[in-house]
Amino acid sequence: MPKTKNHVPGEVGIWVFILGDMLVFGLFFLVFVYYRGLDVELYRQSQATLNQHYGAFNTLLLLASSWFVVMAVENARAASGKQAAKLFSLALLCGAGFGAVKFIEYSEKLAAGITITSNDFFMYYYIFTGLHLLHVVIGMGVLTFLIIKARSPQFQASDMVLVESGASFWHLVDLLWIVLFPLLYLMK
Amino acid sequence: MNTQLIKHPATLVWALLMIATALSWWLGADGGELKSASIPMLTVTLMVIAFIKVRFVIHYFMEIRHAPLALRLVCDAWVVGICAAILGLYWFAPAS
Repeated sequence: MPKTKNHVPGEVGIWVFILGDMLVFGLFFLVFVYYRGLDVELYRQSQATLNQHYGAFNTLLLLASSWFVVMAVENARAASGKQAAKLFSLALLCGAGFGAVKFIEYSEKLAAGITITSNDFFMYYYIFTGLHLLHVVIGMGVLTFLIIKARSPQFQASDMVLVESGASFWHLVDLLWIVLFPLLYLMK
Repeated sequence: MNTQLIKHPATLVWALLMIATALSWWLGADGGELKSASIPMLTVTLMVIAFIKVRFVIHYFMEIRHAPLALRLVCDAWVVGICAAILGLYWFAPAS
């Protein structure tokens, strides 16, 4: 944990971005639930064609990746850059697993002729999960950068701001999926 | 990795989050067999579980529990506000 109380994890700028992103996704969630309420049957039938196991497994993958990131940050604080790099790599691997599951899921849907224009439910499904996947890809780029940073012999305490900023962004990716999973896959 | 890190509070939180996910997975998969009267309560339960998980992620993984009060309040306001608005829109939906 951070040495001092009242500590902002990472750059203040990254928090402006994270909170802005949370607000935008928050509005997405509300728009979805509102329009769902106008045509519940269509949303229920469309949801029934989704594979919940993919969604749930991906939630577990992101939670595991977040735990690896927390452990990596603690190792980085203890000036154990090599150990931190290993843990960031495990988180990156979980992110790649998430992407692979999403690829299989999209392929199955497209093969069944379900596209973004099929109906309103699938329009939201593709837009929300697609934008989230974009966050996963950016997050994986951030993790790769942190791995390189932590491996470098010049890794020092002042790099912690970067490490914490990147870690906070990765947790945001996890957090958004925690809501998207029940919203799209489970809500009856 | 040393054993102290395994005892980190985030590890316990992570275990709880995994259990909560498994519970939601099981509840959601069984939902189709429920009587229609129990469906709204199931959905409310699933969404509340999700936002409790989100708060844990924010406080323990993102370390917001050590952050300045203003940032803690903004994050908690998001969790409570968005969760309440989702439940409100769901509960009072015209077509359900």
